[in-house]
Amino acid sequence: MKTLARRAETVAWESETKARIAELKYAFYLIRQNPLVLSGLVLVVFFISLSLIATLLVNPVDAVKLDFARSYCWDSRLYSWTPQEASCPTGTNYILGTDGFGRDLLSMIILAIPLDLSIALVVVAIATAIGVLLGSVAGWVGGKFDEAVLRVTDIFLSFPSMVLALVFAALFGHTIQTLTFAVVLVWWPTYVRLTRGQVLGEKEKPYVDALKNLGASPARIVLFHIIPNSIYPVIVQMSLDIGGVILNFSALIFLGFSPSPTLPELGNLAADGINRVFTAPWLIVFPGLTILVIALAFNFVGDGVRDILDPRLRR
Amino acid sequence: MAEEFLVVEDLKTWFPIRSGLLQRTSGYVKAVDGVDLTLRRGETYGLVGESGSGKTTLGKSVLRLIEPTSGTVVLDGTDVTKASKRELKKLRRRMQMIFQDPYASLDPRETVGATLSEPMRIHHIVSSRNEALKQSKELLLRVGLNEEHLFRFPHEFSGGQRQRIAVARALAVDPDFIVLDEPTSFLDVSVQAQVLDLLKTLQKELGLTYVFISHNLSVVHYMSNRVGVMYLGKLVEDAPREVLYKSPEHPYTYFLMSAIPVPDPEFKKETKLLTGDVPSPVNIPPGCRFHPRCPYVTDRCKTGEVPYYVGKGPHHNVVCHYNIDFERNMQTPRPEPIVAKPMAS
Amino acid sequence: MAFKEPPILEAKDVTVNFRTYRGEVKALDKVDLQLYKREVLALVGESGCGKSVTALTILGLLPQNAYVLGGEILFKDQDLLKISADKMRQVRANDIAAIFQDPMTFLDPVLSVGVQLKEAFQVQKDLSFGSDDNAVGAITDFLLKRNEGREDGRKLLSGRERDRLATDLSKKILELVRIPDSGRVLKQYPHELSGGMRQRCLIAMALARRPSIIVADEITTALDVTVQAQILTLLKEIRDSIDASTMLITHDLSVAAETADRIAVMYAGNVVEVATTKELFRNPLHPYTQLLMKCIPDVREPVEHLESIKGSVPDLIDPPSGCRFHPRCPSAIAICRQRKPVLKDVGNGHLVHCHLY
Repeated sequence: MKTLARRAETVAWESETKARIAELKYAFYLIRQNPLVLSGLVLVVFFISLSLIATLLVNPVDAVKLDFARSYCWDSRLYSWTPQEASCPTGTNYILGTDGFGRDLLSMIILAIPLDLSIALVVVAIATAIGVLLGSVAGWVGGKFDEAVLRVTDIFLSFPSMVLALVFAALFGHTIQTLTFAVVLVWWPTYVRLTRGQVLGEKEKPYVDALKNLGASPARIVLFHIIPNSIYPVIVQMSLDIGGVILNFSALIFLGFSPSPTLPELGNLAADGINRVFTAPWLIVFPGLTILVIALAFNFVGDGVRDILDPRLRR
Repeated sequence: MAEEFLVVEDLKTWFPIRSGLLQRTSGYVKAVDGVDLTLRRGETYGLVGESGSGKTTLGKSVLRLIEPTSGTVVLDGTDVTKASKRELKKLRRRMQMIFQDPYASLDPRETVGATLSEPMRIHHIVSSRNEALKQSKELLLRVGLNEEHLFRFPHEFSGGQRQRIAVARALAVDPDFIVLDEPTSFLDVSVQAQVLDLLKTLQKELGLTYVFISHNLSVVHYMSNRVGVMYLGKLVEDAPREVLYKSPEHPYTYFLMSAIPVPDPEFKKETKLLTGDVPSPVNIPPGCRFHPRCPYVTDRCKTGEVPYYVGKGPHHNVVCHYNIDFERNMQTPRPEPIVAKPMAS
Repeated sequence: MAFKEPPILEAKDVTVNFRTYRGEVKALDKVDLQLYKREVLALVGESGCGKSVTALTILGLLPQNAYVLGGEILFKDQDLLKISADKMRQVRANDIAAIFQDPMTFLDPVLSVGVQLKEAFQVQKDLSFGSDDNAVGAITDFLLKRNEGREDGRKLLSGRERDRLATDLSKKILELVRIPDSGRVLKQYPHELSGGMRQRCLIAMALARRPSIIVADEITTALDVTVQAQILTLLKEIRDSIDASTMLITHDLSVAAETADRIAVMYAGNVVEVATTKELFRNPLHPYTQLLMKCIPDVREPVEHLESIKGSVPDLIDPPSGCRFHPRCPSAIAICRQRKPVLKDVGNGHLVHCHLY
């Protein structure tokens, strides 16, 4: 109660509330206007919720229960793959068929989603953090530091992404952690470049001069003004990268760097399917589709988030 | 001399041009190349010039937004050019700037309230958010806006309103001295009139001293007490307003004045056209900088620095070897200057 | 420039709206305009008044979200608002030329000036200039001042001859716009030229097809005052030799005073006053015009205090009822809020859009 009362005493409380409500209304308007963003948002929420309750839906014990008798079978009433049909033993109901270990593919996908999502989010978060930090300092400070950062970035970028990750994985083993780090190595340079470019542009703008004139320290200017204004392309890049990271990670696993052959991971599942495209196509189709949908969903949301957050793009 | 609020002496701002693999300095862009001026408290110094004249760089150099290469700037007795970082931060409260582009001089991601509060926070003028908001509200009212605007973003305002916000921001630190760099160039005529009036009113109420930079000679005329004309980094003429406009003595000033379009179709104007284009400060001609375009040029003009001569008006400095009768196209050499430095008003 | 003759371009009741997220912007509201032969008409107004929109409508260059609600623009017995896009392109190529504010954005940075200028001439094989309208003889006579190539009406030219002719024409036209050393300039790129030179090149390109109308939108706004004086003087000088009408769009009344024969003042999508330059300054009738003139600082008469117009430009999504100026008008009366005034002729071709008259 006391805080509420104090709140009401705040200067211009009504104006502030009115303005905040107007902002929210505008955000909703934008989302409504853009069906892609809306669908993306719905899907992202869906996937995240799914990840949170995954262990409730599927007993993880099942993940390890191998039953070779039921491998690669398809029994769903939804669709029949011809000509090669491998029917499952009766009494089972595998909606999406089974994988090489006889496990229900749908359950595996449900278990894989949280794994892939969390890895993707971690990779993107780390890459962004390194990238934005380095990029903004390099862009602001310029000179030799900037040159050095640019060269290092160039070196990393000149490697084909897979080669870099492969070398790292080969050297440091293939646990999930090392694989994650391998992927980070591939993705961070782009963020440096992006941020640096934006910072170079922003620092020439008059409002930066005005801030300097008002006595603001460089740290303050960079942290509170330049970085927030440079972040928009980074956000879009982040949303695009989620899909890309999953693919990258999956590819690594596919190439044989899998921590364990039974790991429920979308790439792992799909890898098995590559050799059986005609005999068991569901193994590659469904995990692949899942990756696609996740990537698209984040992509759409990324667009929308940028539109909402960037005041310059409005009205 | 005690009345001199701002004294600029031989201010030079040179930008090195680096080229080649090893980034050697191959030359300098001499944006400001030796400017002297003085200003009294409460007055407005109008600085006119075309693109490449260095007027914006001069404005920024006086405030040390761009570090001058040499020379001194003394504000109310304090040497700005020699101040340490900490002293400079304190000094910054006294001298502010209003920029030309209202669309880019405010951080687009910050609400107006945040933009106004920030300087207060930097200099510890306020101790709580509430106080900051209260003072910001006062500032907005003073420039003719209102409380609601505190929580809106810059893009929701028109150009004129944004300039007012910029003025409010400058006032937030309670300055004495403001450099205005083309504050109304991007504004409509009617809005310009409002903003200029606001600036004049504030000057009277708060005792502010202005340096008003513009290429619009009519606006400068309206705002200033004293006017200086810049060309390629130097002041070529410097006089009280009416003297400069009614009886200019430097040929460049004369051409500038005759180029001003006048809102009266029946005004018979002797439009003397200046040939050629506005030059760039990379290759400054030797001798008098204006000599390549000057119809009154003589051999003497082509070599050697031109000193400050004394013009006919009170406190009138002219950088030209000749006394020119523009009507009859006649020129006579001036007697040698008695003073080496320009006279203050 | 005679009023007895019919205008070469006449806009009647032109209404244009823009679709935006917040609603429909009623940018032009029944705009009437006449442009006579060989005159310079200045379209003056502040931002948002619709002067640029008018220019774009005449040129057929409105953006995607704009649409014409009504009205007609009569030019050479056609209604420009109703002809096909292809025909409009022809009109833009040959009859109505446009020059805009920022020369840098309108010149291709990777092509030399010469190439772009020659392109404007588009010399065809049979010595026509890419259209059947623009007569061979007129341009050739005027620019080359010789009559070669006109035996039996047409002469077939080889590629090299065409190129040489285009180069000659380009050089001549650069001289016309007072660019010295035209041969060298032809080889230069836009970024190597100064702002004033670029603007002249644009003017040259606009003149290349001998248009009957030139629309110049804020062409001196970005220029220094001495360069602006040069360009305005140039416009005045060539006006007689090129036999075209010029529609000069500017926010600067002083520029209009110096260069124009007639001035049309616009406010919030309406034309509020039209008169000859002398008449407008001697006797401004519309309150907006009067206030506008008082806002401008005049070097000859120093004042302590500039008048300004109270309030601000209205939001055209929901413009004021009746006369759009009434909320800011010091002489507003009751009827101003209720009904839109009509453009009335008070004599001598002086038109006012106001209930007071």
